[in-house]
Amino acid sequence: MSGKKNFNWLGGLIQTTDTLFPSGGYAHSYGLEEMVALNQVSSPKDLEEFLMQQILPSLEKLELPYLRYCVEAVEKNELNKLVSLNEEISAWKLTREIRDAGKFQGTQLLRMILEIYECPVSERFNQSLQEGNDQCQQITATALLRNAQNAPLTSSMIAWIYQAVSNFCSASIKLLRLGELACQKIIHRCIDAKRVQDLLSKSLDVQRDEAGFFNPMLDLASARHELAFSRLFIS
Amino acid sequence: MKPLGIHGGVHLGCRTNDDGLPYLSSQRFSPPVHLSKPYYDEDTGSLLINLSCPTAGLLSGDRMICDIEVSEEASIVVTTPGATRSHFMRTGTAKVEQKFRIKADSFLEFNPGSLILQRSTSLEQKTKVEVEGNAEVLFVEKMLPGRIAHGESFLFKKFSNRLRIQKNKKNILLESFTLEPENESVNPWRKSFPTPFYGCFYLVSPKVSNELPCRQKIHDMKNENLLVGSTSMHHQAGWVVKVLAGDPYEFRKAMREIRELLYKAIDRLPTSFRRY
Repeated sequence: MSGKKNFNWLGGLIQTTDTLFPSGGYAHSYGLEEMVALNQVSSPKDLEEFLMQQILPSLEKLELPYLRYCVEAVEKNELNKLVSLNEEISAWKLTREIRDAGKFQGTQLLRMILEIYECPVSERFNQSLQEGNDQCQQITATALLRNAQNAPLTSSMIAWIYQAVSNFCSASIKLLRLGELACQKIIHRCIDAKRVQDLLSKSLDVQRDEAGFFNPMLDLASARHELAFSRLFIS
Repeated sequence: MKPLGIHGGVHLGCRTNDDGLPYLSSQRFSPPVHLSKPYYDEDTGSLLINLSCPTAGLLSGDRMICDIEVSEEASIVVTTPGATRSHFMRTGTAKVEQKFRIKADSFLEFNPGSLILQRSTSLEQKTKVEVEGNAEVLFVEKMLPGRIAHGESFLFKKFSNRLRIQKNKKNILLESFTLEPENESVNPWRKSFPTPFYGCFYLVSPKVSNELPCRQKIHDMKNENLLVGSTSMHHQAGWVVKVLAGDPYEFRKAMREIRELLYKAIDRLPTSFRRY
């Protein structure tokens, strides 16, 4: 590690990625609960396959590109573009539970940013949202947060991958009776350096008009979860 | 060899006449699209249009535009007599661009046959649906990963699909994906059933902004060969109903029944497609 590099951003990134930071993610399974109910994911092996073959590709082709577009808009102080990206994110979150989860967590995160950081761009963005009667999505709020922390883009993207994977794994502890060690092994394999590097390099090439991922099974599961008779998670 | 391809399509305008009946106020079409004679369904008050394809499907280099505007409280149902095949392509791509504008108080159902992604085909499809005021639209997509009856499944080259639905110029739904069986992009679809039939209804209507009365009934259709789920769109503009089926009979039955339920939910009568 070069001693000349500035790592002032790292402490903030760790603080806001930690489970102690109130993100609200613990209450959501993002469709996994119904995937388990539909018997699509029923073992640690299934969970790992689900994460590797369905979630990581969707991060690469959809969520990470949008995080990047939002970060770029914040850096260039393009508030109107950020508002428009925020609206697009709500529109491509096809199911109500996933969309609302993003809004709830985004709103919460934006509130935390305004409390903890001095961030004029977040204040102006919050004002724009209120005027448009809209709510902040988690991806948008994360872009504002990472900008306030001066976190490099690739580090922000890796943190997003980690949080997405660990949210599913955290839910699976309850849903699949998965042990903590098994969980950590799965997370470890998902964030394997070579895999993440490959994912990042492909994701950085995704243009805005081609960002997207097709997962009809997860959409269906999330939609069905809204009417599920019994459930542990909000989504 | 450079693919030749046909550049054509269909432009339709649908309005109401002095008696309040829907008619085609403008029409222009060219291969690969042919237009049937419009049929007015007295029972439902809708004009039925069948779009057929004289070339039997999409071939390399084809560029097809479908542009439909419905206004003045007109009601129109647009379908195709059969499936749309995207054929084998040695090189090149076929491109489809669809634009629908539904003005205040008007209704459009766009419900073509299934899109069949045949071996080695490469297709790009872009769709924009603009809904104004209290207009209503039922937009339906059906997709098969190949000629399943012939054992062909997930052998197409590439299919990219971009759908944008706006209401009063606000995005209410964006669905965008590129499927390439050579990579992981088809995994979720492929894993659902050994031969997965996919369908989706997008219903925009102020009549169902708060709830969809038939929702539980739709969810109860689930069985070992059929998965169904419904959810509301952004800004509560309407509903999305997704269908995955393991066989063609279950798929057709589910698509027919859901269509009837959605029509009932918006207090309209479904127009028969008159396929005999």
